[in-house]
Amino acid sequence: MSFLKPTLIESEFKIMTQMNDGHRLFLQSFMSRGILNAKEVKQLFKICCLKYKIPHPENEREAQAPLLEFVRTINNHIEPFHMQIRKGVSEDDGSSSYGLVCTSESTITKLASDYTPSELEFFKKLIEIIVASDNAEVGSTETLNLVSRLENVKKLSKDDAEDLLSRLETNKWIKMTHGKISLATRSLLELDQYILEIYQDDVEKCNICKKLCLKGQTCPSCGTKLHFHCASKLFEKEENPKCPKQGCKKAWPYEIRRTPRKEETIYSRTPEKSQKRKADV
Amino acid sequence: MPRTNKQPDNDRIPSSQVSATQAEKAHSSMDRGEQEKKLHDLVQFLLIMDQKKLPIKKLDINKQVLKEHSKALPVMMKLAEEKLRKIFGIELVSLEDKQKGTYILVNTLDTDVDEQLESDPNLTLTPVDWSDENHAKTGLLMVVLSAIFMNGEVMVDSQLYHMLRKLKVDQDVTHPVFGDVKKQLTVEFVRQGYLEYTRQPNTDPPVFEFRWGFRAKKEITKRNCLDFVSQLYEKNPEEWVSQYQVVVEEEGEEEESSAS
Repeated sequence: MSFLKPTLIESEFKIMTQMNDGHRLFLQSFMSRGILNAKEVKQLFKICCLKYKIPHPENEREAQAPLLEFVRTINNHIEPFHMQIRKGVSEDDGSSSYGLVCTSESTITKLASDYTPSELEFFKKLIEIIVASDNAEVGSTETLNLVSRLENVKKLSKDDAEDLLSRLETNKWIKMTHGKISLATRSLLELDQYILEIYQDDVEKCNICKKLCLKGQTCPSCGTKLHFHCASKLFEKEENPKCPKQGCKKAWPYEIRRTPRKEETIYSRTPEKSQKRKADV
Repeated sequence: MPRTNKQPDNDRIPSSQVSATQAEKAHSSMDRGEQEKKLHDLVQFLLIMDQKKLPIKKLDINKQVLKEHSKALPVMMKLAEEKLRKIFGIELVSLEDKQKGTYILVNTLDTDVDEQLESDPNLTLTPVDWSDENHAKTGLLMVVLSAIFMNGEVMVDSQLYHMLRKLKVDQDVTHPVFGDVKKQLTVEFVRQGYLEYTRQPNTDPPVFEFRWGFRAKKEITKRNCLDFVSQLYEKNPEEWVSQYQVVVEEEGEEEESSAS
């Protein structure tokens, strides 16, 4: 339409690398799945490149830089819509995942279309009891009883709640193992700001990575908290691990989980860099 | 729902309808920052609303996003359309007839990666992930749409149910996957725009007719259906003379409209 003159928006557009169908398929995959682990992301990149004839190095190592650039291009374009592809780390085993998160303050707008107001309210209450629990884990009975605590929304039956939990698990917001329910990486990625804000005084950040730490090890002396995987890396070669907090340095009384295999990430990093590197793409 | 290589229709927002200068004026009266913010809110809004699979109403767009800048809607929708296409590979479609004044989003990206997966046994990921339930519903829909098409683009309800019963999908029996089959067809698929369910006039007891809905028309080609049925019966599409004729006509129209 000739009467629409290009606005500033459109001219800004030209400075960034343009998106092609490969980027779009990659993005649509994230929109569909929500979260992918490191291995899946590498596969997805390869598939998108194959389909849309984008040059892709055979060697996995060499593919890392182009993949980063690829994601950066997408992130540049989706940033104005409060969307970003971000890296998250599992609090259970330290493995990396990449999720499409909503970065606007209207929390849980992404969930808003998949779940009813009652269900969102239930999920919020679930977060509440998880934060209050010892190991960021709660039992299923306690969880189902949350239906009685829902206020100002349509009631949910316990059957509804069970169905909801099942869907939340399928969509990777929660994990249910051995009868215990905890928040999955996707929730931590999407809701860490929300949790830090709402539960300020009740939650800690990991001393090493400075991110929200729900599951981890706490120094019995000064209360410093570390993720299991952050502690593993910190104490990798330590015979006598000590609390990293200045002014404490007491012996770290926990068993250090030694990771049996090298962590799968889309970055290559040397052990020294791992602690200083920022986690975002 | 099945995505195809269908060429997008050329029913973009009919700009002739709205006074271009009025809309332009309203848009230019906003400062740059406001223009950008509204545009971004609009795109986000459209993406989220489309997840419900219901047509998005102009009324809601004005009420929830544009607000005092409603007059700028035509301009904003044009810009949003471009963003959706360039960034997400999604087409914004303005509906006509009964759904006039509403929009739906249609995926124009071909998400099929069978070829790529077959080429390398190490690749196992399907980019766009569907639940088993969705797969099953799509299967049912495809069967229904194909049947309607093969029958001359309309089918009476009793006929359709009779056919489905032969496939062990009975409207009187709760199906293990589809549940209430009648509801799935007459409520769910209709709501989502895949089917049209109308009553034949002057019938008592009431007789209803099924036709393709507006979303089916945008997402699925008649060629697809004919190919699907042809494969089932192991015949050539051309053997169904009148249906093949319809397919050719539809493709002729597509070529015309994309050339113009």
